[in-house]
Amino acid sequence: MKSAAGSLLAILIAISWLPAVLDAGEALEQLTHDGLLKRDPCYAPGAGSIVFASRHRSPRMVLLRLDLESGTLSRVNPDSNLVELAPSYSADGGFFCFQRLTGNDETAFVIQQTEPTAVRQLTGSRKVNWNVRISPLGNEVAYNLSGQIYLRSLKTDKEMKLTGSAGRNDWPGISPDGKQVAFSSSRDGNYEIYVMQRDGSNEQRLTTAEGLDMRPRWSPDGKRLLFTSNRDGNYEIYQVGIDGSGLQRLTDHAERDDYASWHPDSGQITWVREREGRFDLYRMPLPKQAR
Amino acid sequence: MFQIGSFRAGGCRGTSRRAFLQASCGLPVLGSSLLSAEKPALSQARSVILLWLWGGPSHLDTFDPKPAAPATIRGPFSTIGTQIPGIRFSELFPRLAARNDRFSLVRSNVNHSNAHHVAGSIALCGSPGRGGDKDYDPNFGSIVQRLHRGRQDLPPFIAVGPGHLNTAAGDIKAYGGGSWGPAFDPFPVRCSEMDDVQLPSLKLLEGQTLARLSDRSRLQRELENIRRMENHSYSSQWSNHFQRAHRLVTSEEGRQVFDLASEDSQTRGRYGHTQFGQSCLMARRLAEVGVPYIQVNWSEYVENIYDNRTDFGWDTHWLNFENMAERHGPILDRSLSALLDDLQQRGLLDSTLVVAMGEFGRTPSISANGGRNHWKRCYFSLWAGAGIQPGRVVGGSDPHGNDPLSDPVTPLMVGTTIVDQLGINREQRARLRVLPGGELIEQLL
Repeated sequence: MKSAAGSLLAILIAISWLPAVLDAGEALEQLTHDGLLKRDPCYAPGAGSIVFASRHRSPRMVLLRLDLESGTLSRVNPDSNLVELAPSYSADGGFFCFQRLTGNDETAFVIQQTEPTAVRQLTGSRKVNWNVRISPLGNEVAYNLSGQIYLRSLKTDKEMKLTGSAGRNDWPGISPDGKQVAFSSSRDGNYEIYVMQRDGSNEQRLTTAEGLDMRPRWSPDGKRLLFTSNRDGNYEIYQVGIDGSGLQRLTDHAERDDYASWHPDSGQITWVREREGRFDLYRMPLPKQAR
Repeated sequence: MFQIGSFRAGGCRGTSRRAFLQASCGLPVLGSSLLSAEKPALSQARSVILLWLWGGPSHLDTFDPKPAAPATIRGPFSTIGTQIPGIRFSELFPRLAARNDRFSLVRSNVNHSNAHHVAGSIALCGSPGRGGDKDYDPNFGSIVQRLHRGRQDLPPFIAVGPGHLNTAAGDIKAYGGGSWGPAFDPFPVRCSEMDDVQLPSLKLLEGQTLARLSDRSRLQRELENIRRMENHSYSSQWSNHFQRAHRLVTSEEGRQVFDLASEDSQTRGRYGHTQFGQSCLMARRLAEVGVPYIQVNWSEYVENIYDNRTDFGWDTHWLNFENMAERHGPILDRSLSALLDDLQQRGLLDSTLVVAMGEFGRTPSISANGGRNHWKRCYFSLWAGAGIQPGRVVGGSDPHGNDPLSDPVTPLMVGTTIVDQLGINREQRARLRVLPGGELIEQLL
């Protein structure tokens, strides 16, 4: 009897650890089909299109816009001949930000304002700034510079260093209310997900795993973070509450799942899925137990 | 349908404007006579595939991690166990970690220069240049080409990759023939991640038809025209490549080998649809038909970031960890693992020597820029296949990866071991005055 109860308990424990989405089946929707390397998808305001970086019809990585109704792909900056990465929008769509590789170990970020129309190309205090993301409020950008996290005001151009820890700090993202910054840090030995206040105070570690936890992405309601982790052997998508609770694995495959992005309604995700060596954008609704 | 000039390897998809010659999809598979070529002696390779990791991969973030070192040296990556007890790799290489009982690792490579174009030249020819960075010995592949007596319809030294090896400071000098001249340069082949295989040497032939190409006297006149138009050294190099290309396009088997579409999609997928992945697959196809020396270049430029020339080389002064996690680690892990699996499954690993290396390693200490700089004093090379005892680790570095603790392996030893496995012995090397005094890396054999 004891043995049967033990077995039942073991089964229940095993079930509780199953990924929230083992196979999304019909709910899984393939959005692109060319199979070329892709990264950094993000929804444009209104969720009618997705912008991402790829080599589609270009000798280099550039930003593309996928119109979700027609399925058509178009260059975001058709006249640019530079590598473009890391697109992000403010929540109201008033600002669009991305990164350009401008020289030998030189990068810049470009801020496009829609009303009134304006474009600014900013360079950082040093040559290479990376993984830039604009605040949902459209007032500042966060980025990684030499392994530390910085915020830069788009009004004053003032740059503020938020981290100063040992190890690497990277992949910053500003919360929807503009008050917190999520990021990855290796200060405790390997990359884990952290959250801090926008002035760099009150750093909280959210994950504890052997392996790489990176690219946290705030849900639009500000309650959860998507991130990529190789804790189970290869890159998969996970989510966790901003208090560290409710850790769930959302994908499960021997190939790579990476670059997760939220739909504006927080109910579905889009990501880059590598299958049979091809890289395409997919989306799926989050199952109820994962919301 | 595939096309020559700019091969499209995606199946029957119609005609490109740039194509000058079309052939039907229904070409037969490669002749069995090629595939059943006589097996070499156990210790001897029929082909070498050199995966050239241009820019200098960090040894600490790949195959010689230092988990006990301070964070400023160790870096952010965890380590994972491998098939060999006590040997750990960076967490970015799970597939290779599961296969390291099939290859051996040298953790004690050393080079003579910290400059890419100099160290790269030395690493590919075995010796420093004479007269400064000028007069280099020929590339290992050029030696093979010179002594090659096998089939003549395929070039014996082929470079698969995005283009001639370059840096912001200038191009590499020992890419090919070096002091022997451009006639011994590699025959270039470019693979895209999806559809196209290009033979740049054939661009001269755009607009030609197979009938015209088969007319050797007409071809000779056109070559003479080219010679008159171009300066001599340039045209002689091109005419050499052109003639090899001509042999290729007028040989059905030659044409077939470049048609990646004839591979099934699962095989193509296992290598990954990246430029490097498909280049590795092309290398396997070339080895299969007996091309003796294939060099697969990771990138054209060493630079990790280089405006519109960015093709993400291994020179990670900045963004070492970001790009290792996003791109370099996953792509190398997948493509090299697939190559080893594929060669083994086809029974080719015993006759194909696979070597993966760059020109140097990267500084153990993480720089103020958050990357790693050049490090000639210690780096890795990975060896598999013909004549190599698998599962070994040769040499070892000190606790911070600064220097080898034992068994330093020089570029001269690398080159000597490679060409020796192809059966080019000490006497032949002496006669050609190449790789003078070179010793084998005995611990690998």
